[in-house]
Amino acid sequence: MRNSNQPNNSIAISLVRPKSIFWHNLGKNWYKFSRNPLSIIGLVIVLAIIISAIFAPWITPYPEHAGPFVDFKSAGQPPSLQHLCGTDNIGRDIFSRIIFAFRDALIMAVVVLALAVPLGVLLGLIAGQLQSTWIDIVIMRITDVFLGIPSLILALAIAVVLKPNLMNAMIAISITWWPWYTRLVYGMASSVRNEYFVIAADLTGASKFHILFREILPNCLSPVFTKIALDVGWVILIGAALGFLGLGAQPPTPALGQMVSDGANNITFWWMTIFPSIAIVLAVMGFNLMSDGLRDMLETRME
Amino acid sequence: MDIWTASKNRRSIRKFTDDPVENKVLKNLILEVGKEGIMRDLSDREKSKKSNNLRRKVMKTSKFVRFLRNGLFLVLVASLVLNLVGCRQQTPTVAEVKVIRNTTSWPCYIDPAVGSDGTSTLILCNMYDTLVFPNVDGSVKPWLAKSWEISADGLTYTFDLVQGVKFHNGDELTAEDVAFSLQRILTIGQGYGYLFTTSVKEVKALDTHKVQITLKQPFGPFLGELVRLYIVNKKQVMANLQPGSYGEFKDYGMGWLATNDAGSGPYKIKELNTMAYLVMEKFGDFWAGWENKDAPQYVKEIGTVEPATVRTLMSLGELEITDDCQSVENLATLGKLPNVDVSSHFEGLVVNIELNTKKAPTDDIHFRKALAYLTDYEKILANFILGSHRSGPVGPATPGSDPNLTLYTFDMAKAEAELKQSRYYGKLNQYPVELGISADVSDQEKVGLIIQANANKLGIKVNVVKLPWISIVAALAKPETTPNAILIADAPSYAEAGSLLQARYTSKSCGTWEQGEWLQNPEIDAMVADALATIDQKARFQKYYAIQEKLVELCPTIWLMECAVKRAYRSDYVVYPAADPANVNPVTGYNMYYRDYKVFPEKAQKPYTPFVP
Amino acid sequence: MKLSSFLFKRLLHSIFVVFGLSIVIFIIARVIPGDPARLALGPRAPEEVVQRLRQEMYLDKPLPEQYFYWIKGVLSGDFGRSLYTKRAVSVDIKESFPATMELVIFAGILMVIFAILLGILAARYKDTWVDNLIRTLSYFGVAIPSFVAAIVFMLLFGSYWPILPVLGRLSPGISPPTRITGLFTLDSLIKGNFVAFWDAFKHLILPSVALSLGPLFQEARIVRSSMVENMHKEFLEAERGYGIPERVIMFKYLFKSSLIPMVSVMGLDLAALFSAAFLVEMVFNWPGISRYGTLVMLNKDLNGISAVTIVLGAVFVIVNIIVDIIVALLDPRIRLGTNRGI
Repeated sequence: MRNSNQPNNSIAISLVRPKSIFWHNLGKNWYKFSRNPLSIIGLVIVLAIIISAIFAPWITPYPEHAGPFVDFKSAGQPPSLQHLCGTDNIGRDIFSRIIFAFRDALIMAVVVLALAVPLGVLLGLIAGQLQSTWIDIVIMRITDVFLGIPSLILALAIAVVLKPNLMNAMIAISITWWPWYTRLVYGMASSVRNEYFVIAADLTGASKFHILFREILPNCLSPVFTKIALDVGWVILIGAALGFLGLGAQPPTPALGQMVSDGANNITFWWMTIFPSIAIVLAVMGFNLMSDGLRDMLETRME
Repeated sequence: MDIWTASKNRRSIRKFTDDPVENKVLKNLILEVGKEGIMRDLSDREKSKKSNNLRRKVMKTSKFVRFLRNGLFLVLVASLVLNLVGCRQQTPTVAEVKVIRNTTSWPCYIDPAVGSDGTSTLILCNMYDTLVFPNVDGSVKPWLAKSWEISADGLTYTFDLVQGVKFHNGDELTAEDVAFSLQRILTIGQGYGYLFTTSVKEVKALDTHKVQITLKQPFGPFLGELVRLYIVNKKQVMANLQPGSYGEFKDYGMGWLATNDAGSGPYKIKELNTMAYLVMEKFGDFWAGWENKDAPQYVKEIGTVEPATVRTLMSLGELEITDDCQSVENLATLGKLPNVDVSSHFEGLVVNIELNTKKAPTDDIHFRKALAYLTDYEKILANFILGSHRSGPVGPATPGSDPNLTLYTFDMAKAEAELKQSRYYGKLNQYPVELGISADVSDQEKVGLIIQANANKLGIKVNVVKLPWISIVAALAKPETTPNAILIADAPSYAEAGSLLQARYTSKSCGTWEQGEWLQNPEIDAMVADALATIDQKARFQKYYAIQEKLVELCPTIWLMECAVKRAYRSDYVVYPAADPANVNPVTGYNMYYRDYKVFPEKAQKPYTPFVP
Repeated sequence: MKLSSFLFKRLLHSIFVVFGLSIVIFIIARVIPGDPARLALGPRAPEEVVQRLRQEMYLDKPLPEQYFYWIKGVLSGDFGRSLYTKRAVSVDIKESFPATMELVIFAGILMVIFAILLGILAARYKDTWVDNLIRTLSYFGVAIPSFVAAIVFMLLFGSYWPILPVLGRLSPGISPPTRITGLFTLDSLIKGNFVAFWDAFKHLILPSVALSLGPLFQEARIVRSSMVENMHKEFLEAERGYGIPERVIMFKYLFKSSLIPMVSVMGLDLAALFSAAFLVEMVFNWPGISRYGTLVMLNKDLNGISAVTIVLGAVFVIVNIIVDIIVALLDPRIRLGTNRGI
């Protein structure tokens, strides 16, 4: 009966630029977002992480511990008032290092998504628009090949080939990330393509470029935004997984996965493992919750 | 159409909704209702009876599902009960088995022509025999070769072999096997092959128990090198050839020897799980006999060095002795366990920071000396492999090491003075120093950070880079890609300083992981070649001293320390020979020669888990 | 008719994907800088020996030719010789694959059972404290990466509370059962060796829980949402009218009709377990193919990397096909080709 993936109110939206709609209805959107208390919690967590990451050198108690610093006298101390999360086996304060680690984690997420999303979305749009032509087939087959490789394996394989540092880890993860967006946008674009307003625009002589970016793209964007918010958490996770294996930021730069791995090597100092783990979980959870709220806000369909 | 009318006209029911699953359910429901008659025409009592029947029919779990559920439950309960029963049965064991369980890094390569890392070496020492056996002072004693003659020009060695030596499969060891083993390792060239490919010209079996080896040039430490020639059973290997590229020798037995042993040593393979462990058992017919009645009957090499695993095994009484790769913290924790002691001895393993003499800024000798002076040796010694001591180019435990060498000390003033003399002074920002450490050894990071902190005080920027071992080997292949400084441990291949000096500082070893200095100094090359050609040991050692003094002048390396080899072991019932400093063998692997160990399981205190072979 | 043509199309598609996969992996493996032959043999090996290895590995031939030799080998089951374990890679994979299989199957069973249970509970008691508790737990649980869960378990059960074993597949005193399928639990059951069965089972618990934790909660959410969606359909109202208890409605009727989105997600998660197992196997020292894969990757063993990636990629693709088949069997709409969008 009802094709569940058809946008209901697309006709109304397409005639006005979606961005202005968003700010226009800010009050309504905020209401939709805030109905779920969990989304608020997510937003708070995310904001806390971002703010503390940006202002890290000023708000952490021991900012120099995130750089070259050794102090064996105070190594291995359990959590106390002086060191909220204890010290690691070289004497560095773990709490400060976690906050600095978030810096790198967020930068990694931003860079990866900045690389992967435009590429993926662009390819998905092109494939969706030129459906049933050879371009569509080629793009979707390549996407399927990359989706056929479990992402951790591919990221690992690329990261071991290159020198282990932050930039190369980011490149490795971006290469595994773009196919998801292509697939997402392809599905949406190919269904939106058949809507009346697109046909109307085509008939009135709009250029292909206009149709692609002004008609189809805005209607595909809301799941993309939701996915981006979700993905920040997942990129942090995969970055931590690579760091756990030693590929990623190098010492003395703090990185969450590496701190967990150090904790595993010094397992009698339980705080070295637990606190970075909690930090990772909190970050992912925050982004998940926030993206759920975003979805409530942006997507009006009931399916 | 509502349910009541529909139930009257069963045939006219085609579909209620689009969803075929829903349809099916509804259809079945209607049929049930229809079969029983229309509900509203029945009396109340009959209605409730009908709906009860319906309910009962609907709620019946299929017999099959019930059978599965009960079956699974029974299996779990049964196994739990049997496990408890079985547990009680296990406690009365026979007189406990003498075993040494040891953790070690993995994987192991038990082919004598392939294996040369720590684990493989210690297994080879136990499973195979050699012509000579290393002594504690670095000399060798006759072993399979009961006597030998060296020709006047030092090029020909003739060995007389012991008679009646049996291989593990019963064959007798003859000169043919010796010649075959040497020829094999020369051809395959892996593992310890490099020791022989440069020096040996040819080998001949003159008689069933006489073998002759001819060298290319006189080589002083040749007898010492022979501790790395492990004798394989030619007949057995030739019977197990697989397709390969060595002509008539096919794969030269590499496929078979990767998982089997063709040796004559005191222990033979019982079980090899290539992913996880190796179990060896005593070879009763060992030719040198078993004077030591308390030697272990079984040896298990457990292939893991994870600190948590090792600690758990030790605390459960499932481990007699650990590996030598444990961190300072873990050894401290292990030492606190009841009846566990930590032994410490030296085997010539030295840890150095090799400075690239062909890359700025470490190509300037004053810069290098500045780095040598700003290294806080005491701090490093206190925090990295405790119990180690300072060392020069050759560790003090290795025979031939210069006892009167003046080493660099921690002196920031001298460091600054040297720095001012270097041509990079004032431009330090443009010349960062890249310091590479191994990602596989967790404690190395500390060393890097200590140096970085001190260098920072003088304005030298040091970047610590963690590299996996493979990247290190790749980077060291060219002078441009070799980092300015690289932290590497190395050990002599045989118990003489010359082994290390040749491997570390001659031009031939540039491009390999053993030399990150790119020294390429013709004077050093000549001195080393001359020393190695000297047959008289005393004269040779004097030449070694001269080489070491020259190296200190050139300062191509920051010599940190000679590492203490530390293992935690159960001192209540295990006699570990190397725990006594007088018994420490300088050749790697021979401190794990299990034939000399003594195990007394009856003396073992809690915790102790007996070994079931 | 439609089903078989659907199957055929899927198969063709998958073969293409695996083929493309092999090219990508091959390029990655060969792009490794440095000389792999020299790397494997060490610095002291004489040049002729290194040259011989180079020729054996066809390293001096052009890239397409190398690919051809490699593919020929793969199709006949020969993955070359591992430079890390110095044995045939196919033997290594054959030995380590059952271990991961056992882990993934067990984790999969846990995942399916608990996801369904939790999802149904949450849907049944929607908007009550049970539902809220499960939803909050699931947000938390989804965020826990498997290696963090693994390390926390290692910490808890290794150091503080040793009631469950944390290392390997069997306790040291117990010898592994004779190999029939390679799965210790199954083999010991078949032989009647209950002590070994219980021991292997105990060793399986922690790694499986660590592996399945994240996907479990995600699937519980999906079960819940798809059941909530279907909960007020007409035929269920009819059954409620008959007085059939909620429990039966939930488990028998509603469940079957909400099955489709659940099955597809569970299938994908099951396939993803193989890659998530990489880190868990490292932590628990579980001798499976994922740990082997991590080790060969960190040691840049060309043959090992390409072999493991292709095997796992093929497994992934096969599981996807099976999931698609099951979904097609369950939902006639797909078979009949109605366009359902994404």
